Amino acid sequence: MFFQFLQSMRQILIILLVGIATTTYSQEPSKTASSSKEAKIVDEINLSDSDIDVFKEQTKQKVEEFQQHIVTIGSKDQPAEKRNMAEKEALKLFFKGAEMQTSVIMPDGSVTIQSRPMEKYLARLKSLPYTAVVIKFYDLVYISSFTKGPDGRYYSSATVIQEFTGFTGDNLVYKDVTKKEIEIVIDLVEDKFFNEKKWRVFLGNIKATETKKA
Amino acid sequence: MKKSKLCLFLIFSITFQFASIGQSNIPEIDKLQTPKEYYLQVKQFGEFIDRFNYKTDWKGNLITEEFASKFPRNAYLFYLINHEDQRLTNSNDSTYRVTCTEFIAFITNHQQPKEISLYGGQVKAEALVNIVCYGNDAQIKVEMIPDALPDRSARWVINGVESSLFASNADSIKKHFIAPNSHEASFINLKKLNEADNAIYYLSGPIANTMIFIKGLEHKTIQIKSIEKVTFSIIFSGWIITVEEFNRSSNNSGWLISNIQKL
Repeated sequence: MFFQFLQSMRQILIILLVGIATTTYSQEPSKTASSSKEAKIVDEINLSDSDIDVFKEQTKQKVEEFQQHIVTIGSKDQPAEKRNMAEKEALKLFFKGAEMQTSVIMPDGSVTIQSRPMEKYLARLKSLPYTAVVIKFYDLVYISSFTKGPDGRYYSSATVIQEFTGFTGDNLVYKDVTKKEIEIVIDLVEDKFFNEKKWRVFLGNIKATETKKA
Repeated sequence: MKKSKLCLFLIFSITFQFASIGQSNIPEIDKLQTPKEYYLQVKQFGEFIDRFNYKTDWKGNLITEEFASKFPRNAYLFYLINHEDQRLTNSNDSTYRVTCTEFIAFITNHQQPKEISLYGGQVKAEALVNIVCYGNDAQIKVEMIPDALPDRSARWVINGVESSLFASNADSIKKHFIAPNSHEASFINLKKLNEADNAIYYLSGPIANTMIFIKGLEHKTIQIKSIEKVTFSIIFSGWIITVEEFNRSSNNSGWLISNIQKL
């Protein structure tokens, strides 16, 4: 009786595990190489129009995920734990070594350019010298076409526009609008669970250009 | 008993994990309606090419007949020129206005409309690069060109470096050279390179600059800090245009034609 119970428990566990895996992986880009042998021939894989549409949609989702994390990291009214988690999750969206290059127009018209590793940029965003920070994004997300690189990955760029407001007490002390150009890389990554390769969208370097200061 | 407890623990932990995965779906954030000027702004150079080629409208959608009836290509092209260029508004000199009109007519010629092909050899980019050279801040210009490979992939490659930093040593030029009449003797003098201790002096200026830059990077005497500015040059038969980014919040902003020149 007890062994029958264990047997049925085992079956439930297997079903649950498969369910979890399916739920998790169904969120990834749907283009899947039919076998690992086929996936090795990266150079021979060319994107069809429908693949491009899928990648554009996946890119949009990743960019929106990044925007959500930025909003959370910047929000001083959110619990520190949630902001730290958003920082960690935001970093997972990027290729290792991604940088943020910001350019700011100075009062004399000159442009100051600064590059920071993404880790430092996000950490700095968490500790800006304002009592409250409000970050909002415009609904426009412009994604360029995808071009294959010599390494077999596909490359694109997405443009988003961010409105940043910093408060000290009740006073608005800083406001700007920046245009962010985000490099997009679509890579064929090994999925060890299913022993096959799947296309995944990663974010790369970001160029942030200040367009308006209030 | 212990086994059943273990089973229950596993079920709970898996159920909890399942619930956590459900929660990891990021909720949508409230977004602001994009102001009109950002739709009109040419946000990427690729977008500039698509608009120039009359492929996409201001929202990035393919151009429809309805759009074409409202904005013919010549009118649409005019929006890609920097409107704040004083040469367009100068009442005493209409030269640039005439040049612009002639160029638009050349591009939209009904018998032979012209397009920009990024990988067709028409496009060059010039990046103004901030570097540290032997511990000092400096700027160089790096010319980049698109390169299409046989497997239908593409990349940008360095085509040359321009800088006064790498000025050649006049004494060395007097010593290391191929004589002006060498072409008459099938460049036999090229054999001098076998013994050369610094073969860089046998190169043309732009190639020597590029070599010095690359060697400097390899030996860590030069380091790239940031990219200050990028401009694109696009060549057509008899014409060259320059495209730059105009960073301002107006309907006429982003990547625009900063100069049109008849060759």
